[in-house]
Amino acid sequence: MASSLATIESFVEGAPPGELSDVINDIKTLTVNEPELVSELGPAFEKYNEEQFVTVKLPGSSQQVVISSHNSLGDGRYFDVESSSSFAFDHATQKASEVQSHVLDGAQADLVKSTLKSLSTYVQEHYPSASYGVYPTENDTKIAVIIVANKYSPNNYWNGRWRSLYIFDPPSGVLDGSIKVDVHYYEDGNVRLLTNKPISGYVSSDTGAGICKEIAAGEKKYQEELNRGFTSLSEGAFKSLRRQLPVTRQKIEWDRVISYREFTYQDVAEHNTKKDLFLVIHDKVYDSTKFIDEHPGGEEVLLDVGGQDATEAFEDVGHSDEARETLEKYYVGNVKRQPGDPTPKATASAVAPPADTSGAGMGTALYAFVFIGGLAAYFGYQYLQQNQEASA
Amino acid sequence: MAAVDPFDSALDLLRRLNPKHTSEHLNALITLAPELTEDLLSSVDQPLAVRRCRQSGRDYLLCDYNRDGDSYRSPWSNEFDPPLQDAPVSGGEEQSNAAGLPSEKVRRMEVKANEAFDVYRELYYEGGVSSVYFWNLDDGFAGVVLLKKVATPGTSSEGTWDSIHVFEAIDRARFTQYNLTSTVILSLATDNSSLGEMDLSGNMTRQIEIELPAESDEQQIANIGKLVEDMELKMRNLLQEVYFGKAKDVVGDLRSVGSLSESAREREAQRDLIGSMRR
Repeated sequence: MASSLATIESFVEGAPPGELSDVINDIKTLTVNEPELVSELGPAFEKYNEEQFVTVKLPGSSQQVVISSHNSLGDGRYFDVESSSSFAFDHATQKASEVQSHVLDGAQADLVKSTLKSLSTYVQEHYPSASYGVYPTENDTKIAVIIVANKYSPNNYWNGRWRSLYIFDPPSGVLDGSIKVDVHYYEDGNVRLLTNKPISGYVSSDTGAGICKEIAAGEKKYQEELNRGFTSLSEGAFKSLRRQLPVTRQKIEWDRVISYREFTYQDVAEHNTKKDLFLVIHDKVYDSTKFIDEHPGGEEVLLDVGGQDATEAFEDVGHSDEARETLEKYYVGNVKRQPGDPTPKATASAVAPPADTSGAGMGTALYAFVFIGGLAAYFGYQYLQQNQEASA
Repeated sequence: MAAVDPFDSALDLLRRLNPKHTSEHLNALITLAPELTEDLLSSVDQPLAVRRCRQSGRDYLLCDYNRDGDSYRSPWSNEFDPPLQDAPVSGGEEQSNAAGLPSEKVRRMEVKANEAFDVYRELYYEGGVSSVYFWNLDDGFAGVVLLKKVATPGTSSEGTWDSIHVFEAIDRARFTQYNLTSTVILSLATDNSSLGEMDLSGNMTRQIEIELPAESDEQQIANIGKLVEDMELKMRNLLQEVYFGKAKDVVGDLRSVGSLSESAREREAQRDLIGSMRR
């Protein structure tokens, strides 16, 4: 079935660094009824190995050599310049065999060798562990430079790969290429960093050292840019998605959020007895039942405005900031103003929450006040919006 | 060797392949192994889709828990869209009915919870969409709290945050046992000429079990609110650490901006200095 093959081929292509064998095991379990499917994955493995610059140890050598389309000899054989050898590569098992001598000659041979020498110095200076290769390419008219660094830490659930590929065109001095970084983190999740940076440069001196100097400068610039990219994503998009804490810098008081209600004046008017006393001050509803006996100004004044808008009475007395804070303890919701309701007094604007003076050492009561203020503003905003929508 | 469960292999594969395309991989797996369809759809979290409620005009989020066939229930109207063929009757006081509507009691809590998480969303996300869905259990109730925010388009970097909190609230003698499984799907990307393409996407999951007293419906919702709030704070810190700490460190492990031989020399000099001071 062609579609199933295409599906599992796409899984192979998407395998994270160092996890191809895990992906293949999963594919085998999922296609256990069609075992012939996995045997058809040969071309997909070849594509993966050549694109990912898979590295392999040659028999009898400790050096890792790179697999790519640029050092392919066809028929599953590849060559390595440094060891002057060619070898057979099994794309399914990623093993090398049948090593033979392979001496590079041709128009680009000298430039390839000198680039390889400079590249070796550069790679050692900046990659703790990387493989690299330089090959003549495009019918010996250009040279290809490859650097690949892998770091696998499956015990800590992360793996990473850095791939650079450059094509140098000697007549024009143009050096084109790309840097790709792939990092996978998969403890209790699946997080992937994938980058792709096209590089376009120019090498004035037609030498290996000149090519490597250009590569070194470009890679340094890119890595610094990438580090800034982490910071800008963290400070930008990430922060704008979800705050660490609300503006109040306090966690939510869920009991208050849940008991929050919107009242009409008719609702409030029903609470006008000593056993059940609501007041409206600046459009906020307070259940002052428990406060009646504690009110410094006596219970009579409270009962006089029970179930009504007490804003004017409250402001005329000139309550202290402390008194205003105390008031907020009894906040239960907001008034939903309807046509015909008494309009708020002009003195409303005279009330400024003492937030301006906020500084270190403020009590939690103040934060609670600020929070409720924010909540009230939020609901007020919503209320306004709904009204606008309704009248539109 | 014991045979490996194909379901486990499918989950393992989804944990490895690019998390930016989980939905595509999920569809591919379902085509490959149709017998896993239901299990996969109910256990793999995907980015949440948004739909506008026909009755209230408000946006709500779609997931497997408010789905019935091809219809989704709005938390604002309690209606399915498109309407179900067999119009569901309300679930009654204690039992939810087969059509997936919660009982009247649980629906009342669901309405309260949606209002409360609307406030939560505004305070933490300053925008976005939230939806809460409850359903009855034999010994309590369960639910899912969903939050989604898309970073303002038009800026140089793009981002999407999806929170999926699935919980059970099981009645015990003197308390309620809460089992919460939370997943955050976070996708970030930026693309400019000096940096090229940079994509940082993924999902992380955490679980918690806790016993809390809950004497009223309001207290139930407050408990769930606190659990979700604490979990999201923890997960936001974790995501920050993995996305901007760990991933960056791995890149630094692959390639060093500075010269390796120079930093080796500096370390050597430092060791010598410390050695000479000890003498």
